[in-house]
Amino acid sequence: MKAWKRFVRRCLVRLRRVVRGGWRRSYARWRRSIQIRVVATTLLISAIVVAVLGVFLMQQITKALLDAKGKAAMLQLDEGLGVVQQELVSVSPDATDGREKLENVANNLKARSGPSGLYEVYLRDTTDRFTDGFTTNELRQQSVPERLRREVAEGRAGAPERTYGELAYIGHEPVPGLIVGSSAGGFELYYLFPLTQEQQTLTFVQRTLIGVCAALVLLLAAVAAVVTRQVVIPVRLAAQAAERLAAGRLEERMKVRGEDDLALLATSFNGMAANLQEKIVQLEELSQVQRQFVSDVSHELRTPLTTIRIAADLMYEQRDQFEPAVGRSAELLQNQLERFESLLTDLLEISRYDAGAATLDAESVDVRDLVLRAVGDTEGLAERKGSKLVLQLPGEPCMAEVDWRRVERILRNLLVNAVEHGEGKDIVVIVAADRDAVAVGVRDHGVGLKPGEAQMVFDRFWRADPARARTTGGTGLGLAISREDARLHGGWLQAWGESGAGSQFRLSLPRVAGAELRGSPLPLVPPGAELAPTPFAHLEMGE
Amino acid sequence: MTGTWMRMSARVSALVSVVGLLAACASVPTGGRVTGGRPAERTEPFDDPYVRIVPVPPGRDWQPSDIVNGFLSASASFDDGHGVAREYLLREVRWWPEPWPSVTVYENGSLEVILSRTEDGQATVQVTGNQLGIIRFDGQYEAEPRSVNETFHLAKGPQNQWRISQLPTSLTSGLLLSQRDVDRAFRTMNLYFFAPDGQVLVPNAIFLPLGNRQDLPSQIVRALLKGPTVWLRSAVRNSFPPGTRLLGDGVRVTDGVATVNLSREAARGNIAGMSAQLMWTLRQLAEVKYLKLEIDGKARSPGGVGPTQSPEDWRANNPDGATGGSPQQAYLQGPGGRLDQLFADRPTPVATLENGTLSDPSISLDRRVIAGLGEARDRVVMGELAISGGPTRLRTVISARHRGGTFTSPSWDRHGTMWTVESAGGRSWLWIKLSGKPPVRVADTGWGLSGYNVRELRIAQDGVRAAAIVVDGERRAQIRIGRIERNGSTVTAGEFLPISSELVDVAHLAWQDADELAVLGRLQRTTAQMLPYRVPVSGGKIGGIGFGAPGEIGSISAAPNAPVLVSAKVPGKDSENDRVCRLTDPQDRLSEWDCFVAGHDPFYPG
Repeated sequence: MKAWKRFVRRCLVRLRRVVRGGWRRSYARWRRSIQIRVVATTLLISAIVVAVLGVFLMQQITKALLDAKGKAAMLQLDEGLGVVQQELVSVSPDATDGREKLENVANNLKARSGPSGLYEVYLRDTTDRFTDGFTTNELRQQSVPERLRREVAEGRAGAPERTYGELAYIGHEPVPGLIVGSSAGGFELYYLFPLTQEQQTLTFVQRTLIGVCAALVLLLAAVAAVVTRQVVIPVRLAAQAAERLAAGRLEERMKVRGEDDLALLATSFNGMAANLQEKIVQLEELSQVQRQFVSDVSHELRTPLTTIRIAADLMYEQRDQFEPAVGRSAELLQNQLERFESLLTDLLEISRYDAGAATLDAESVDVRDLVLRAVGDTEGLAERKGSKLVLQLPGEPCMAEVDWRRVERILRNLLVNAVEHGEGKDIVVIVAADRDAVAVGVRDHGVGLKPGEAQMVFDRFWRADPARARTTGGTGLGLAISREDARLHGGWLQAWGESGAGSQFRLSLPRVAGAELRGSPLPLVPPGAELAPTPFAHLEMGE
Repeated sequence: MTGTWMRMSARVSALVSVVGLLAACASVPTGGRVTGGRPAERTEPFDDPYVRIVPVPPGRDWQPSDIVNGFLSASASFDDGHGVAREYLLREVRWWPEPWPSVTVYENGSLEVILSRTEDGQATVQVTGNQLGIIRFDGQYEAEPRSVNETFHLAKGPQNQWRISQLPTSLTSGLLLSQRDVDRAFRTMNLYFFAPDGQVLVPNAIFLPLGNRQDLPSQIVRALLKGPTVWLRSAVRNSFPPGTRLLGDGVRVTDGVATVNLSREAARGNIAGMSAQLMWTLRQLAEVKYLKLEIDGKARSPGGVGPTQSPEDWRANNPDGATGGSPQQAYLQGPGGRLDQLFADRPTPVATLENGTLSDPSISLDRRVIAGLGEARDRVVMGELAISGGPTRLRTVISARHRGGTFTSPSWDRHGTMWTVESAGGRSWLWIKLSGKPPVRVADTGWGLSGYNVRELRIAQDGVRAAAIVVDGERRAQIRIGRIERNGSTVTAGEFLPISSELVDVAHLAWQDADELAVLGRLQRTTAQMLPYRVPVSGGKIGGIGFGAPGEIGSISAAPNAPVLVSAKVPGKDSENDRVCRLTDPQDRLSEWDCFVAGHDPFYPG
C-alpha cells in the first residue's frame, strides 16, 4: 500500500516535472518565435470569431427551420380545426354516439398523416368523462404537456397555442417534437410533429459547420504561418548575417531578393557591412603601416646609434680629460644612449609581438632555477635600494615547459620594478605549483597602486606618476612586453595593488606549453591584505 | 507584425465577402433536368396509421354506474397491460385480460348501464346490450347474436371511492367491448397452416390485440407457433413441432429482412414447411420483405432456397391455388345452350350444351367438367366439355331424394370433387362426387349443417374451408364458414361458424380470395334491394362493393385476381335482359359499375 502510494507520488512528481518542463519549453519557444506567437494568436482569435459566427448561424438555421415547421403546423391545425368544426361542433350534439363521431374524426385526421408519419393527432372531447379522446399510433397522451392543455383550455376557442416538448410513445424512445393545439366547442385538437427530421438536418448542418469552421481556422493559421514565415525568414537571415559580421567575417552579405521592404533592409545591411569592412580594412592597413614604420625606424636608428655609441664610448672613456662640464655631459650622453638602446630593443621586441613574429622556444625547466637566477641578477640593485629579497620556494622542483629566456626576462622585469617601487622595504618572491600550473608572485610593500592602475600598469609607456621624469626608471615597455610574453605561454600576468599597502604581481604559467590555464596556484591578493577591500579581485576572472 | 495583421485581416475580409456572396446565391432551384426517382422504400412500419383510445382513470366521487362505464371504456385500451382499467378494480380483484383475452363484442351503442342496487358500501350494476359475437382466447371470431346481461359488484375502496369488487365471471379473463372498440383495438391477421395434403396454405384469421406496432412481428409469430385456432385445428397441418418457442427478443426486422430465431424443438420440423408458413404469415406486414430462419441461433434454410427467403420462393403454396397468380376468365351461358367465355370483354363461344341452358352452372377448376342444376333445381346434371367444340352431353348425376328437395349450385374443390347440398324442410344433406366416381351422400354426423336449409355452399380454393349460406327456422340467412376434414375416404364438413351478424339476408356468395367473400345481401331488413358486399372470413368489418348498384342484381361471382362480376337488370331501354357488370376500377372498391356485356349469371371456375 505504502509502496503503491509512493509510486503514485513519484509518478505525480514526474508528471508535474514533465508538464512544467513542457510548459517552460513552450513558453521559451513562445518568447523566442514571432511566428509561433502570430500563429497562436491568429488561431485563438479566429477560433473565437468562427465559434461566435457558427453559434449565430446555427441559431438562425434552427430558427428558420422551426419557424417553417411551426407555420406548417399552424396550417395543419387550421385544417384540422375546420374538420372538427364541420363534423363535430356544428352538428347537433348526440350523446349516444359522440364518441363514435369523435373517433371518426380522429380516423379522418389520422388518414391525412400519410404513411411517413409526419405528425400525430390527439383529439379529445372535454365533455366525455369516460375517455380522454383518441391518439394516433403509439403516441401517449402525456406527450401533450400540461401547460399547453391549460393554455388551450383557458384560451379563446380557435386560438392556436404551440409549444415544444417530448413526444412519448409506447414501445419506443421519446423524440423531441413541436406540439400545437386549439379548442373548438368543447373539443381539443392537438397536432404533434416529431422533430426527428429537423434534428437530423440540424445535426448534419452542425457537423458540416464544425468541419467548415475547423477548416477555416486551420486555413487562417496556415495563412498566418506562411505570411509570418515570409517576414521572419529574412529577419532571421539578417540576424545570422549580423552575427557572422560581428564574429569578424566581414565579407558576409545578405541576399537581396525582389524590391520589397525586406530587400531594402538587406540592401541597407549590405551597405553598412561594406562600409564597416572598408573602414576596418583601412584601419588595419594603417596600423600595419604604423607598426612597420616603428619597426623600420628602430632598425634604421640602430646603425647611426651604433656609430653614435662608439663615439660616445670614446668620449666617455676620455671624460677625465675634458672640462668637468663636458665630462658631465659625456656621462649623461652615455646614460641616455644606454636608455635609448634599451628603448630601441624594447620597441623592436614589441613590434615583433605586434607583427605576430614572436615564437616560443619552450623547454622543460625548473621555475625555481629561473627565479633564483633572476633574483641573483637583481640582488645588487636591491642592496643599493636597501631592499631585501625574501624567497619562498617550494621544496620540490616546479617543472614547466617554458621559454626560459622570456620567463627570466619577465621575472627580472618584475623584480626590478618591485625594487624600484619598493621604497627599501622587503620584497617577497613566492613560487607555487599545482597539477596544471606554476605561479610566481612578486610582492613589494611600496607605494602600491591606486584603484584602476592595476590594469593600466601593463599599458605601453604608462607611468604611475606622469610628473616623474622620464629619465629615470625603465623604458615604459617592460610590463607590456612581459605581459605579451606571458600570453605567448598561454599564461597570465596580473597585478594587484593598494595605495600604501604595496602591490603584488603574479605570473601564472601552464605546466604544458600551449595548454589552457584554468586557475592559478597563487592567490592574486596576498593573504595579509585580504581584509582590505579588493575592488579588483574580479580581474582574475576577467583574464 | 502590424503588416502581417493588416494583410491577414485583408484576407479574412476577402474570404468573408466571398462566403457572403456565395450565401446570397444559395436558393432553391427553379429549373433543371428531370430525374427519375425510385419509389420510397417503406422501411418504417407505420404502413397503416391507426387510432388509439386514451383511457381515463376513475375520477373523484364517481357513482357506481360511472365507474362501470369508465371501466368498460378504459378496458378498450391495451396500453400498459390495461393499467388504467385496473385502477377501477379493487386491488384484490383478479383480472387477466392479457395477452389472449376472450372478448364479448356488443353492438355499438346498445349497451346500457343500470344501477340496480346500492346499500351500505355495496352496489350492483347491471349491464345489458346486444351481443354480436365473441372472440375466443385463440383469436377466433364467432358471430353469436344474443343479448348481453352482466352484473358488476362494487364496493367502497380506499378513500371511500367506489371500485369494482367483483367482475362477471365471463369477464375475469375477458373484455366486454363494442364492435367499434374491437375494430380499433384488434387487428385481424392471418396465420397460415398447410392443408392436409401439404400443397397449399390455409389462412387462419385471428384477432390480435393491438399492442405496440413494433412488437407485431413477434406477436404474430408467437401466435403462429401456438398453432391454429381450435376451429381449424383438426383440418390443417402445422409444420412447427409442438413446444417450439421464439427465442431472443422476438423477430428482428432490419432493412426488410425479418429474422426469426426458433428454439431447438424446431429442428425436428420440416424447414421448408416452417419457412413457407412464416413467410406467408409475416408478409402481411409491410415492413417484412424477406425472411431469415434461425434455429437456436444458427441460420437454417430449406434446400434450393438461400438463407434469405423471399415470398416468391413460396408462391406455390398460395392459398388461392397454384393458379392464384393468373387472371381468370368468366363463363357465360348464351342462347341455345351456348357456353361463352369472356375473353377481352367479349363473349367467345367455347362449347355448346346439348340440353340447353342450365341453372346455377359451374365449371371445375381444371375447366373440363361443367355441372349445373335442372330447371326445378331438383337434380344435378354434369358433363365433360367437348374440346372439339361439339355439343356437350349432360347427364343427371344426383336427383333429390327428399320431397321438395332442392340443390345448391355445384361447387368444385381443387381435387376435382364436386360439392352440393340438398335441402328440404329445414334439413339438408351434403353430396359429394369425387372425380370419376359416383356421387355419395355424406353421413349426417359428418355434415355440420344438417339441421338447416342451405342456400349455397362454396368450397374455398384451399379445399379446407367452405362458406355456406344457412337459413334457419326463422328464415334468417346467415353466412357460415366451415372446415372440411378428410380422413381417408371419409369426408366431414363440420363446425360451421357464423362470421358476420351484420347482414340480415344473404342471397349469393363467392370466394373473392382466401380471405374474403363477395356476398350479395342486405344490411337492413327494411331495404328490399340486395347489394354486393365483401365479407372477410375473419369476422372483421364488412364493406360494400361498388358505388351503389347498377340495377336489380341477380347474381355475384368472384375469383382470385379477377374482377367481381354481377348480373343485373339495368334500368333503361333494355331493362328486360340482364347485363354483366363489373367495377370500372377493380382496385377501387367504391368505383362505378360498368355493365359491359349482355348476359346473365356469369361464373368463374370453382
